[in-house]
Amino acid sequence: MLEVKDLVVTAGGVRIVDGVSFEVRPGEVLGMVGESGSGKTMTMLAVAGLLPGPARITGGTAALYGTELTEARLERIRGRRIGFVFQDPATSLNPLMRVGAQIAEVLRIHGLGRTAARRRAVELLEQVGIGPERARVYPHELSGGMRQRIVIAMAIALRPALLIADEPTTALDVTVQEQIMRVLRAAQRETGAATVLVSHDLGLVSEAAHRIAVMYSGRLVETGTADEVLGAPRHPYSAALMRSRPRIGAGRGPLPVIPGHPPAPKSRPPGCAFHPRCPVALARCAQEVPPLAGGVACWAVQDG
Amino acid sequence: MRTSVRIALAGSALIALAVTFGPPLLGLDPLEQDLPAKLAPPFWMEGALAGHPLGTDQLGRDLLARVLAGGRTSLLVGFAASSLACAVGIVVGLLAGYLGGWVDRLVMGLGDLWIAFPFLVLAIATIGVVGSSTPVLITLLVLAGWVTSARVTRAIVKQVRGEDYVMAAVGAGAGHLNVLTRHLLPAVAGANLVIWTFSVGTMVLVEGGLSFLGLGVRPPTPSWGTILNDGRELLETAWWIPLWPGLTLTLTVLLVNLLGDGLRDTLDVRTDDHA
Repeated sequence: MLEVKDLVVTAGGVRIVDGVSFEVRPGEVLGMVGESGSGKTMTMLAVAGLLPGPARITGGTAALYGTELTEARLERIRGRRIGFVFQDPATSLNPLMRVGAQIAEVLRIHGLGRTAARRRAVELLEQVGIGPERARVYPHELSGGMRQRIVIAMAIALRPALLIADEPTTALDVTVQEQIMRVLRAAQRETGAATVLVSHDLGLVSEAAHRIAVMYSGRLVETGTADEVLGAPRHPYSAALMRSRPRIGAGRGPLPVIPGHPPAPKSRPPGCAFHPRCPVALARCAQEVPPLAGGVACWAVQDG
Repeated sequence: MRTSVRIALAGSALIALAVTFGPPLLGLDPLEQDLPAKLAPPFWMEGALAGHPLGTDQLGRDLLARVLAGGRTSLLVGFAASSLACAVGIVVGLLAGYLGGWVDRLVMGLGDLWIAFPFLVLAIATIGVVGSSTPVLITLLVLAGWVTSARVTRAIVKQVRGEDYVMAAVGAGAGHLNVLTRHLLPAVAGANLVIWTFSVGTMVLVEGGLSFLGLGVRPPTPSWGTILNDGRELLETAWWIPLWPGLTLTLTVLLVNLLGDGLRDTLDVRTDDHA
């Protein structure tokens, strides 16, 4: 059970994540969607305490099963209670370490003995569909999909309570995306971990997620079950996002697009960040930030 | 393993064995003077003396014995100094690159200052005060040599610590020590191996230079540098005196470089011919 409350991440004086709250229950997959730069990755890096360089948590809390995730606590439980699957398997494995040893390393860090770690590493390889004989190869000898399987094996090695997958298939060929998602979902079901799937790929999220959270310019604009958000989006941004999805059988003609660009966090407009691009914006939208109420952060929906 | 590595390994081992066990095994004394037999030429020339196959120097000391015994000093100093210099450089470079901030600025600033400082002045001052001995010599060479390795190590660490796999390791719960030893150290090993092989040759030569100035190994103890310098004045008449240490020195440096090259290719898993 992960509970995030009013999380604020600041980098260089700019709030790149601005008051985000959500929760993920055990065994549940939360799909976190949004455009590039909407703050979805930063939110999850903040939860895991892995924020890069100048970014800092400046407000809010994150708690795993009721225990607040402080820096000191994260250092002890990262890898054990929280597993992280990174975007690019080509760079998230050490090129100089055999993959079996790399999986075993995670176990060894958390106190397993050498032989026990090696034995468990082989089990994990089998669990993600890789033969034990591959334990002795180096990452460059494997394909992208195989490497991502290794990364998943490392993430679930200690049966974490929280599994974070940040764009786990974005760097892969379309043909292996499906396989990797299957491996990831099997691993998630087997460990029963609360899972956050960060992705800009709505198709992927619609297949894997139970609930969906939509981010725009560092804020959550809508949350709900996958069916609700994908089938009947209420926030004008989510609705526009769904409309701009290519669909088979939707006829010819140009794809609907959202006019304008998402704002950079430092030039975020006052009020609702989406109001300059919103077809149903009210006067109020330019002045007050709408709170997330009833799963949607929109004055037009709440007032109308 | 490639043929060149095998040759280099075998050659290096042969030289190491020869200089370590050669003199006592052959019953040769590098210090024994025999003035009537001075400046004897090597075996293939007229006037060569039995028992002195490589000839003798101006004091009638046997050159085979001196080259072998001298190799012991030269190689000890060369290998110890370059190994220690690399070790110091790796530790300093790892810390500077990993910690960054003021540690980085302080250490690398010191390194720049160090390089700007004339080595000979340091050597003359130190040896003038504490006298010359092999440990002092090695210390001086380490002081002179650590910066190269530290700089290269730091540069690689700066690059690698930003790699996703280092963040992934931290994400998997790895502490500072684990990241340093399991992820950063292997990444700098290849480059340092190359630096090490280059510096073995340089260190042996610098030791020779210092000995020539009377700052290195004290006569009559031979080293390749001192023998080279002994023969310098007699180059026109007894050219064989500097020939032997010159040859062995060249051969050693060549073998060590071959070895380093081959080792790097063999150990680097990203090249094809690892096994």
